[in-house]
Amino acid sequence: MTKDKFLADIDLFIKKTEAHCCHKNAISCNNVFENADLYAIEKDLLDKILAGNFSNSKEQGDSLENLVKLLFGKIQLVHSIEVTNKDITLGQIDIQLVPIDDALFEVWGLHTQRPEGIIGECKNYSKKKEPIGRPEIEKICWRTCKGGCLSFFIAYGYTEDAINEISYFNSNKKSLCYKHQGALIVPLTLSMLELVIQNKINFCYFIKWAISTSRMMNIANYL
Amino acid sequence: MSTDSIQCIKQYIEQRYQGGLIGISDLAEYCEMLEGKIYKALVELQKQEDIKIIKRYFCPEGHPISLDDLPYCSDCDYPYSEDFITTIIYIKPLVVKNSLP
Repeated sequence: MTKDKFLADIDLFIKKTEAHCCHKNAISCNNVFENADLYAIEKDLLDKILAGNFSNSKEQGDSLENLVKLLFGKIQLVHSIEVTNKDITLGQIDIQLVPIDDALFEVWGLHTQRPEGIIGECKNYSKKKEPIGRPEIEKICWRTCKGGCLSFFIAYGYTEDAINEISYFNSNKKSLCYKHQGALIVPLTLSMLELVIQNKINFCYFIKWAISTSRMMNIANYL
Repeated sequence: MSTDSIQCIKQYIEQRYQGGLIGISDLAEYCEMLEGKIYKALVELQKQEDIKIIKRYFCPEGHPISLDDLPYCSDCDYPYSEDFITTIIYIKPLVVKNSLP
C-alpha cells in the first residue's frame, strides 16, 4: 500500500463528504465521533501489536480485537461491541457490533443496502505476520452471506487469491446471497489502522471510506 | 445510557419548546454535546414514548428524497451515491411539561 496515496484519498473522500453532509441538524461522521484523547490508548496498544511483545498467543490474539473494539467504541452510534471469541450460529466470530439503530448505517452511506448485523474478524495470531489466504476468506464469505452481515476483516495483509475471493463475493453478492443485499466484506489491514491512528483520522470516516471502496473492490488497491 | 443527556433534552423541551419540530443541532448546542450523544439519548426517549424521532433525507443539492426513492433524487433526476445523502434529524415531543407561565 502506498501510504501517501491512502492518506490523500481518505482526505479527499472526507472533504467531498463534508461538503455535502454537514448541514444543521444533520448527523454525520463529523458529529458522532468522539476522540478527545487523540487515540492515546489506541496508539499504545498498536505499538505493542506492531512490536509483537506478547507473553503468550492468547494475549497476542486478544490485542487486535481490543484495538478494534476501542476504535469502534469512539463512534457514538454504536450501542455495544462484544469480543465474543466463541461459536455462535454463524460460526466462530471474534467481534459482534450492535448499532443504536439504523442511523449508523445511514452515516456510513448504507441507506438502502442495510446489513442484518455487523461482525469483525481479527487475525493477529501469526508471529511471521503472514498474509491471509483464500481458505480464511471463504469462511467469512459464508458467515457474511448467511447472516446478511457487514463484515470487517482485519489482518496484516492478503494473498492475491484472498483479494480475488473478496472481490468476487462483493461484486456478485446479489446472486450469491440474494436474501441479504446488505452483506458486504470490508477488508482492512493493520497498516491502515496504523495510519489512521498516527494521522488522527476520524475513524468513522475511515470506515465509511472503506465500505464505499469495498463495494466495487477499489479497496484492493490499498491492501 | 448517560442520564445527563436525557435530562438535558427533557429540560430543553420543558423550558424552550413552543411547538413544531426541534432540530438535533439545537439540542446539541443547548446541551453542549455532540449530536451523536444526543441521538443516543433520543433513541432512549423514543422508547419511553416521550418523543418521536423524525428523519428527512436530502440529496447533495438540498432536495428532499423519500426513503423509498433513495438514493434517486427526482428533482435532479439523478441516482446519487449513498455516500452523499444527508440525514437530518428532528424530534417531536409527545410529552410536554411546560414550565413557562
